[in-house]
Amino acid sequence: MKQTPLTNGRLSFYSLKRRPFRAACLILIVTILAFTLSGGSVLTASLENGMNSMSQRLGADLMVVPEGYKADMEEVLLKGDPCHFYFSPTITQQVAQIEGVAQVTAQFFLTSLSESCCSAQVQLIGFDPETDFVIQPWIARTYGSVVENGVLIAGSDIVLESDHTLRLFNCSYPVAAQFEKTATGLDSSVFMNMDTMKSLFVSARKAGINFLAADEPGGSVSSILVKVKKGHDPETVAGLIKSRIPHIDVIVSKSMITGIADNLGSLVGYIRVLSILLWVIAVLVLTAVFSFTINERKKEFAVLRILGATRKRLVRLVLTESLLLSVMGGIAGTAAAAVLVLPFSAYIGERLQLPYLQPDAGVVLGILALSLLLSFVVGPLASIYAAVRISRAETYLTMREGE
Amino acid sequence: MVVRVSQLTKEFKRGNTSFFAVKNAGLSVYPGDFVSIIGRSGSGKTTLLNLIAGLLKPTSGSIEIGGKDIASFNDAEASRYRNAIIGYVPQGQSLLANLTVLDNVRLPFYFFRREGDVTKKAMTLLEQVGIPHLAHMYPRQLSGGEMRRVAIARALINDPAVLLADEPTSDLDVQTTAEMMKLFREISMNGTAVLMVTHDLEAIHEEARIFRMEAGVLTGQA
Amino acid sequence: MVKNRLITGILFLLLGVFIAFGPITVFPVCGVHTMKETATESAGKMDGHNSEGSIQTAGSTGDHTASAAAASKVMKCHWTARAELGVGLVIALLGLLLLIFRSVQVRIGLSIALGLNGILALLIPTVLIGVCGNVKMTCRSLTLPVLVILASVVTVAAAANAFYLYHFNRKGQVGT
Repeated sequence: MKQTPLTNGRLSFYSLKRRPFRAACLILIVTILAFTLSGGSVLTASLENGMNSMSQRLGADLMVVPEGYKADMEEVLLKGDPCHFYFSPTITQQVAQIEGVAQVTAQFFLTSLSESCCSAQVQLIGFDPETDFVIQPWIARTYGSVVENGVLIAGSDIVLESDHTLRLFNCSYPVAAQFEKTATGLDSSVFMNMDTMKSLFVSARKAGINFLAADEPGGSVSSILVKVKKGHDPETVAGLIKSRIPHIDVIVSKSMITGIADNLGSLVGYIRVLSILLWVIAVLVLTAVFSFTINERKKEFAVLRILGATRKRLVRLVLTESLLLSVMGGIAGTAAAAVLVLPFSAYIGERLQLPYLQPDAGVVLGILALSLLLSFVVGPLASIYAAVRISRAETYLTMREGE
Repeated sequence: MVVRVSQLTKEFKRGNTSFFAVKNAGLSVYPGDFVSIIGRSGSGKTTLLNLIAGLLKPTSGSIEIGGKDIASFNDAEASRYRNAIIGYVPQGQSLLANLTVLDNVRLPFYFFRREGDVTKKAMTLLEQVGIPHLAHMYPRQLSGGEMRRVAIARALINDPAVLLADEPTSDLDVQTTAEMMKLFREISMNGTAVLMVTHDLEAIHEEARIFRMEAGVLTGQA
Repeated sequence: MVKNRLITGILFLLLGVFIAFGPITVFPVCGVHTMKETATESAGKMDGHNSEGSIQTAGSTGDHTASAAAASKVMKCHWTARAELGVGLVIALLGLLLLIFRSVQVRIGLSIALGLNGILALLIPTVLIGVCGNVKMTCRSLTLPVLVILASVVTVAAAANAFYLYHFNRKGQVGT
């Protein structure tokens, strides 16, 4: 008759099994803690990651747009909501002459349609290969060479046709590469050089779409990106540009980012405080419960001592029991967080209206592992006081208490 | 293995006063012995038992097992002593409610590293005490007498030299008491010394060595 | 056994209801919000001004495809929702039957059926029909992951239940 040995683990398990409701409640506390720790950590890491990505991607210090279109431009950058607006290309030269301006480049916007002529409705951005300093370094990293005519580079969120092309205004264009996710609106944008943009414009015309305010690319621009000279304050230069050139608006990247960063900072702060608070509460509650329940099991421990259990064994028994509880709760909570947070990354980012970029799988696993560890620790930490107390109790007196 | 108690004294402090629970007790227990210590409640007999079991440290005197004084043991040594040399049957209900009868009996085996088929041994002991059919029951399903038998089987699992029993029949009826005494006698005849304390005059076996304990003083055969 | 009937029956009933009605209510697909814009509205929007980025509201654009485009464009996620309605109701019904039938053998069969339906519920929004391509659409960011999770839970729970009942049956105990 082979039976399993009565190890500390087994004894702890039987003990928990005997009081299932109490065990379930304690496990639930740890589950909630683990869920908040894991979910909260992934959330904050994704928000911070998104913020960093956005700061890196914006590239230009200033963006000049037609007056009244500041909000629209921000929508393009943050959410990729397609829009288009135009002003005269002569403004580019005017901006270039302002003191403090190091480099300028113009971009041309179009939007495709959610119609049969196009694969999807996306933001189309044409850049000037001669002057561009924002997109090309980016492209060089991903694509490795110059973007030829007739070729597109797409943001990460764009879904391509099966043959790696995009249909825009009844013409198919090959997509040479896709950028990695940036958590900015540029994920839903498509980039091309000005020549390609010109031919696209013609196709649009042929399909009967009139982007009425635009004559043709070259005749208008949508936005002018500015790099400020070292030592010059972007806000000052922006002020200069606005005062010298009429009917334009200027977006200062840093201010835009700071605004978002503040919102993000608050949210991240709340999540962190909540997590710490919950951890402390969990430890306190578990300490109280363990203290109480181990007290009511004094006789049980006295018997174990009589049978020859060392004080160390008693301590280990109590710690094993509490560890079992926290392990079960930790795994349950972390698994729940993984299921409820990780697959919904896009949705969460959308709802929070903040740059949200989930870190790599390795980082996420690291975060989950750390949260798991912190949850595991809660039980033993909470029970150590009770464990030591019960091991010190004078067995003889404890036994007599039962009489 | 002989248990030799010499001039054993235990003093307790109660507030500002102190009293002697055991005064200069002397006693020897030999293999196969069957010793009964009789006394009223508060006479100090349980204290004496607990001193011998190593649960209390004496104020003075010695308790020698195989030549070694157990008063000098540290916690690990005392625990091992209680686990291997002594088999203790506590007063009242002492089974672990979470474990089956079989697991209760097997439990002391696992406290220190040991070889052997403990399950087979446990079943044999349960047969010896007459309750093999209850192996997979839980203590709450047993009667008082049955639980006492399980406690005895548990106390014997590690082949102790001495079986200590504290008031083993205090909550049992006359019939069960007689059966219990018969069981103890069988155990002592198998070579394990039995030392029990009791206030119940019915719980005395005619073949036992009788001692009396009164106000901490032990009298009788030495 | 009563506990098993109760727990599994209610579990699958709830899961089935969520799979069936979720895509139409709490985690909706795009096709639910029909496009109401007329051609003239959207043409006006194209007039040098920004157009609403969301596909949900931009029905037709441009002046060339006037009235025809006023009708809603039904996306494939709409059909996914329809299909999941059917599968979800079947799962709910099978869950109800699990509650009713006592025979262990019948319940093993029902569990197998549930497992297969779970797989179907999983394949519909992923392989068989699919959802919109754009990552920002709720059908892809919300409905799809929820359906995948629910369908996976149905499949795994059904398999576990089938195994459990099979072993229980083998032990020779009489089913409740």
